[in-house]
Amino acid sequence: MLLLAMACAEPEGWTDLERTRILSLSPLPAPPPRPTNAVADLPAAAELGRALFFDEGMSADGQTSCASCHVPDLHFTDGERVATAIGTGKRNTPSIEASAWGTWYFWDGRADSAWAQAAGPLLNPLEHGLGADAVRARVAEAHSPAFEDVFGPVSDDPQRVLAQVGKAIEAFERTVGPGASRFDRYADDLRAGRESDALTAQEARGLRLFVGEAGCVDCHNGPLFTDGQFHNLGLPTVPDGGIDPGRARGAGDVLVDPLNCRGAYSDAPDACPELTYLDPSFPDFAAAFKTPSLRNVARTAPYMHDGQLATLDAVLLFYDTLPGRALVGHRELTLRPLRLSDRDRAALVAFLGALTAEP
Amino acid sequence: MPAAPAPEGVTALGHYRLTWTTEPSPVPLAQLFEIEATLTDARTGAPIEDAEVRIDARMPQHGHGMATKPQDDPGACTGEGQARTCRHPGGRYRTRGMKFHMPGEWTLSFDVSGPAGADRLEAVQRL
Repeated sequence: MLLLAMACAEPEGWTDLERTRILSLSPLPAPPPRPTNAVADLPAAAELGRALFFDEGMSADGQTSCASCHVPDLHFTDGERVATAIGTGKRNTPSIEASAWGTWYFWDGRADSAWAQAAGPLLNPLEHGLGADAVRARVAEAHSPAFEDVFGPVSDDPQRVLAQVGKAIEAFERTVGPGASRFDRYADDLRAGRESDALTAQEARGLRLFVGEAGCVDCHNGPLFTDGQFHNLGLPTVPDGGIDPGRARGAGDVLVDPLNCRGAYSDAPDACPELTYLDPSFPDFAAAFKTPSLRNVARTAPYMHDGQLATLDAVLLFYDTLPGRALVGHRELTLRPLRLSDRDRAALVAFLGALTAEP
Repeated sequence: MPAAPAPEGVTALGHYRLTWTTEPSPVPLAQLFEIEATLTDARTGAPIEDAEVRIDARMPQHGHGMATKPQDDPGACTGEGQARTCRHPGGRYRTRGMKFHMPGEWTLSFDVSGPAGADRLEAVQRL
C-alpha cells in the first residue's frame, strides 16, 4: 500500500486534490464583460485606445506615454525597481496584461475599473503630469476624428473626456492578454488524459509544490494566478520607501473616486456590488498590496509592490525564511517560512518560468 | 449530480434551528455571494418571521473576518422609527455582500434575536 501511494505521488500520477487545483489554474477564460464601459469591446475604441496608449504628446514633457513604463516587449512592465516617468514614484510598474480580468486596480486597489485606472497616471505629477483640461486639449488636437467616431463630439467637461480616454485605453488593454503558456498545454493534456511533455520533470516538481506544500495557490489561484485580493507580506522595508499604507488607503480612495463605478461617468452606476460591500476599515488592509498575476512573471522582474526583490530566486528565498516583521499591521498569518531545499526552490522557479507565454 | 442537502444547525442554547443556502453555490473563492437562512423554532419547526438574524464570518486561525461589510435584507417592513417592524415571510433571512477572500476554514455565525431570546449558531465552512 505504501509503495502504491508513493508511486501515485510522482508527477505522472497527481492526487485528486492536486489535479483539481492544477486544472483550476487553466485555461484563461474570455475577459468578463465590463458594464461600466459601454465601448469596452468596440474595435474602434480599442484602436483609439492603442493610439492614446502610445501617444507621448499626452504628457507635460511631451515624451511620456503609457508605453514609457508599460513596455510591450517587457510584458507591459519597465524592468525598473520603481516607475520613472516625469518623476520617480515609489511603486513597481505592474503589467497591464491581466487587467481585463481584474476587480481592483493599482497595487492598492484605489480604482475599480481599468478605465478609471488608466486615467490616474495622466493626472499624476510624477507620471504624465497633465490636468484634465490638458488631456481634453490633446484629444481635440491629436485624436480627432477617431475620438468622435467612438464617443461623439468632444465634451466640454474635461473629466468626461478623461474618463472616455480611460475607456478607450481599457478597450485596447482588453486586446492584450498574457497569452497561453506551456503550463496551459500541460493542463490541457492533463484534462484530456493525454501524456504530456509540456513541462520538464523539474517544472512538474515545482508545480506539485506550488499547489501543495509551498501553499502558493492560497493567494495565487485561478487562471490569472491571483486572488485579486490584498495581503501584507511583512516585506523587508526599502531604505527610501517609508511606510506605505497600501490597501488601507486605497480602499478609502476608491469609494470617493469620481471615476468609480457609481460615479457620473460610469455606464452602469446602479450595479456596483464591490463598492457597496467594501469595508474600508478592514484591519488587515494595513500595508496590504494586491496579489499580482504570475503569468509571464519570469519576464517581469523586479518583484513586489516596490520592486525590492530583483529575481525570482530572491522572492523564493524571502518566502523560505520570512525575515523581519511587518512595520505596519501584521504579516498574513497563513505565511510560514517554507524552509525548502535548494532543489525545491529551484523547481518552483523553473515552474514559474513555464507560465511565460509561448511564441 | 443531486444537490447536497442544505447545511443546518441548532443554536447554542437550543432555541432555534437554521438551514441555509448560498448563491452562488458552492461558495466561490474571492467573489461576492449571498446567503439565505431559514429560521424555525427548534422544538415545533414553525418558521419564525419576526426575528433579527445577523450573519457574519471569520477565519479564526487567521484572526480576521471578511473584507466586506455584508448587509442584511431588512425584510418586509412597516411603520417608522420605534414603531418600525419587519417580517421575514417563511422565516427566510437574506444577507448580501459576503466574500471569502482566502481559502481555508471559515466560521459562519448566525446571531438570532427572536421570541425565545438571543441565541447563536456557529458553523465551520471550508473553502
